[in-house]
Amino acid sequence: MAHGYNVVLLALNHVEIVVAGDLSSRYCPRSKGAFLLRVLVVAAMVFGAALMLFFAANRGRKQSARRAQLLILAVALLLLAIGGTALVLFGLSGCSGTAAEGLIWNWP
Amino acid sequence: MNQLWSLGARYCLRQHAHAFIWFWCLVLAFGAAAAIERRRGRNFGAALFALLALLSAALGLIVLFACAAQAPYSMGLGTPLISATQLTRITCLGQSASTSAYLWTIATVGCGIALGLVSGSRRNATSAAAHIFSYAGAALLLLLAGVAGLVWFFDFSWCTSRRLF
Repeated sequence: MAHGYNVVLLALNHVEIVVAGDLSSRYCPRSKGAFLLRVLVVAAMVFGAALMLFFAANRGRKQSARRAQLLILAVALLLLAIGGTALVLFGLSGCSGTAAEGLIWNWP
Repeated sequence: MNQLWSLGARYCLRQHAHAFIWFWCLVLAFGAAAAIERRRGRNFGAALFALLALLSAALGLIVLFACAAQAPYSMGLGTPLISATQLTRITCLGQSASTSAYLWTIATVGCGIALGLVSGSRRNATSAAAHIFSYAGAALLLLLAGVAGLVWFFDFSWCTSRRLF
């Protein structure tokens, strides 16, 4: 009885290992370096747009409504760059195997 | 199992990356709109946009959790702890991340613009024609939002009824 139980546990463990391997290899990039470079370029562009809005806001009058709107938009863009990159990096951290052909992650 | 769930969440983020970043964009856009409305002293509009931001975040998280929960099962792991009905529901929710994101965008942006048209008409428009156009536009946008909601509901119901995973 105990032997049968161990066999079932081993089989389950084997299935879990196979499933974990699948989850770690699908929708992964072929080259993590090139992928990271593209992601960082996109993040830098959004970050640059946020900085431009900050500068534009600081050029105007200190108490104007337009300045406040520009600052709010700049903060939103900054959070978009940080949050979007964090999401992508978190997804990428799940890739440990070789990329599965046909299911390649080519974002962005 | 926790490790599989974590791997599943990251797998889902990769599989539906555009949808989840889109949800994040929506949260930020509605949050920014709420902050701008608050500064203008329009508390109702600010509260509405804040609610839309919260609902967008909640929908994105629900889709991510559903996708992460069903990911190991979609790879062939047995399902001793979850019923077939529940599995079907979370599979449909998880696999329709992009559809949910885009239909939610149509519905919420439609409602937001309709609200802007009505409040703008009440504040600024002087002629009867401007009022009529604003209210008609708002009605059409609300209709579009309703259609988007119905399409989502139909898509989800269709998915859960055919069960061909």
